[in-house]
Amino acid sequence: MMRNSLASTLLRLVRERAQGASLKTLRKEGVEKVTVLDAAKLQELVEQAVQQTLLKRGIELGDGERDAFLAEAAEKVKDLMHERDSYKERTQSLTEEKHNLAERLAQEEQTQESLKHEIEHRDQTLQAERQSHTESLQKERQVFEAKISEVTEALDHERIKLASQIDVLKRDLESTRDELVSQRASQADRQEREIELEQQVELLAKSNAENAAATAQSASSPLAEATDSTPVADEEADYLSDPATDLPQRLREAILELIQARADRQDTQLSEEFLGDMNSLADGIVNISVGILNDLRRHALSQARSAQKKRIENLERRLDKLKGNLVTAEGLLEAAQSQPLDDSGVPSMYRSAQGLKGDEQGYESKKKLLEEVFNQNVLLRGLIQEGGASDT
Amino acid sequence: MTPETMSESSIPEENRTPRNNSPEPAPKTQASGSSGGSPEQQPRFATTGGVTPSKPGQKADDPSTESESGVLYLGIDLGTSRTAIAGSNGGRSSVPSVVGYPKDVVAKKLLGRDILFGDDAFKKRLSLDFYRPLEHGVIKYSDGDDKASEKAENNRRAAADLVQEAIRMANPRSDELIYAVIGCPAQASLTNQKALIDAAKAVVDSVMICSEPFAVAYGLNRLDDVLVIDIGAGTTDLCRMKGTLPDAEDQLTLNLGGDSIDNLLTELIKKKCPGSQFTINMVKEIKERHSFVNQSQDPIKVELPVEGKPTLFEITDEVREACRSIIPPIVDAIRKLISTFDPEFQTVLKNNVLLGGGGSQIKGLATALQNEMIEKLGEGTVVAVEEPVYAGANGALQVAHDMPPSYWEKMK
Ligand SMILES: Nc1ncnc2c1ncn2[C@@H]1O[C@H](COP(=O)(O)OP(=O)(O)OP(=O)(O)O)[C@@H](O)[C@H]1O
Ligand SMILES: [Mg+2]
Repeated sequence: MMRNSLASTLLRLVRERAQGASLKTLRKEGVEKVTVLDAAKLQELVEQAVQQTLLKRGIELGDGERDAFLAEAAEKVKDLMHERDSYKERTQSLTEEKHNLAERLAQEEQTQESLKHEIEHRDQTLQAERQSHTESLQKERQVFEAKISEVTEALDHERIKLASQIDVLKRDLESTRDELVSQRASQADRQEREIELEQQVELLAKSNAENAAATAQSASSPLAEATDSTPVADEEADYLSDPATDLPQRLREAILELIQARADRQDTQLSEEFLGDMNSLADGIVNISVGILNDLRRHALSQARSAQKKRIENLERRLDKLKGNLVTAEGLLEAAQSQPLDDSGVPSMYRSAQGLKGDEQGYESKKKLLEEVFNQNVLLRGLIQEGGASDT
Repeated sequence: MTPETMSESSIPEENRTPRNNSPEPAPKTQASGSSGGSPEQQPRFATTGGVTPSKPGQKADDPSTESESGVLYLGIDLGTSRTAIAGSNGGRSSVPSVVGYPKDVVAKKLLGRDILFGDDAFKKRLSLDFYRPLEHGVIKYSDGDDKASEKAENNRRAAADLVQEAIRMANPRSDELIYAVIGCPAQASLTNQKALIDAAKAVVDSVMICSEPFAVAYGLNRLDDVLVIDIGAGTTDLCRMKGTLPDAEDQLTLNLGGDSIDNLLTELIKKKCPGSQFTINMVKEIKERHSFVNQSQDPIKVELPVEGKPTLFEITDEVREACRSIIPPIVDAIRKLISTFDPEFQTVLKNNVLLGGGGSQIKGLATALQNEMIEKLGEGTVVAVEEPVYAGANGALQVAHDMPPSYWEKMK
């Protein structure tokens, strides 16, 4: 009974692990002969092997013992077979795992490849984009540069205009300066002459003093008194003290000569007393005349001087104004240079009025249409002016 | 039907070159001529807003007005939503037609200006007396009973300020003679025109007014048998040209355009995206970015806040429906204008439809209008102008340039 159980266990195990193969397939694989083991034979072989092993070790077993042993052995075989099975399973799952991993690896590689492709593609598009960008930037720059050169040109134009304006102003200023200088020169001339006159006055004063001293010795002459009392301190030169003219002396002599001549013609002997009277009369006339002349001269001189002064003042004012203009112009120029884009505007492509050209396609009909447009506008203006602007 | 060979002045919107607002666009010229120009035509219309420079040896009609300092021509297109200007100095600019004046001294001090225009004015509108001086192509309140009222006066002043701002934007030189043509809606009243003339006269030497669709046609050198459609914000204006100045019966104005599309799109989005919050301005922006009318289209997705949280909505069909809403009435109007035209030339007219104005930038609109025409009217060829925003200003500039100098003298 034990034996049977061992046999059946073995049989089951073998069956479970055996691979079914038809004889045909085996033959195909080149197998000619198959050793066939039946379950009983198998059991016998196992039993024999067990007994022999035990005998070798000098162990004799009773029937019961042997059966128990065999059962144990069968158990052992079963365990071993199971163990082997589980190993096999694990190997299988490991193999599967390996397969999976390999597959995933392949997938990863594929993804990597496609990523690489995409990156390359993106690189290309980026490059293209960059290029088109650069191109459009370049275009923009060209437009910009054109604009700048236009502006620069306009600025240059403006600068030249201003420079010429400044030139004109400068020339104006220079001529004014020249004028002023020549005015000043003539003024200096006058002053020199005045200084000369003053020197002469001084000289005259000196000689007068000497004269006075001389006359005082002979008699106290009224002329000497009068001369003394004549103010020469005045900065203006006067005829009385002008030795160059010696006017008072000649005047006096002329008066006295006149009286003497009259007396001579009438054969009159002039008394000393009369002569003394005539002398003082002459002195009086001389004094009055010289006083009048001096007044006139002073007046004329001061008028000339104030006219001169006015002119100089005028010239100086003009100079100041021109200087001011120059400063403003220079300021304007500076402003124009620092604000090149200010209100320049874009010039039209036309320098003159245009109009439809005779060789234009459809000239006649266009001319007619334009005339109609014009006439409508004339009509419209008329209606508007009629004032009504009231609607029709 | 085979599409007629297009003159190079107008290419289908799908091929339209992007608008170019740079101050100095590269000068490119294009030939243009009535119904298919011949290849040896002189390029005479510069899309850069410039006009043909005079060739040496060619004399102007009247050489008496030679000037040392130059003559600047300006073309101005005064629109409800946008005012555009082009000058013979190469300048081109546009500004939304809105004007604001600080409400009080504090606002004035804060803003640092007496008057604001365009986007500036729009951004600060809460502290401004804010005006959109033009409505349906004319100055607000300036017609009818209200025309002497204070608000009419204020709107006229705003329009005048806008004209002057436009001229300033052209950056003219103070030493040049300035001759300006203002393209003005055909139906503008006398009071309106007077206000515009007065405003312009204050800053230019001489000014004339001309009908805006005429200016567009003139600028594109398409003066014969052409139907100009200008899809603006408030109105869509149709005008047929037959070699003469268009008069009342040549024109039709529809009260639809960009604004009506915005309104419809607002309703449709409200339905499609319940709980979302948005303003008409946001809708306008969405429209200007995505507008289209054809069938195939990538889905249009927009983010709109729902209780403060940005939420993604798909509104492809809504945008298409709103944009398509203008097609049937426009084709109807085309039919009206064509049926009263000389029968002999009706076919020519149908096949010479020019599409302009900001609304013409809707993707596929020219083709869609053309298909609808073929279906309803048997045939049709529609092309979009190359530069819808500047077509009017460019045309007015060309009119100014071609106007004989003696006429300008008389208008001073
Ligand atoms: N890309 C776009 N798609 C659709 N609509 C657009 C686009 N760009 C602008 N618009 C619309 O065009 C309109 C403005 O057009 P435009 O500038 O021609 O008007 P306007 O001339 O000021 O008006 P009007 O001719 O009525 O006086 C606005 O409603 C704007 O939203
Ligand atoms: Mg418009």
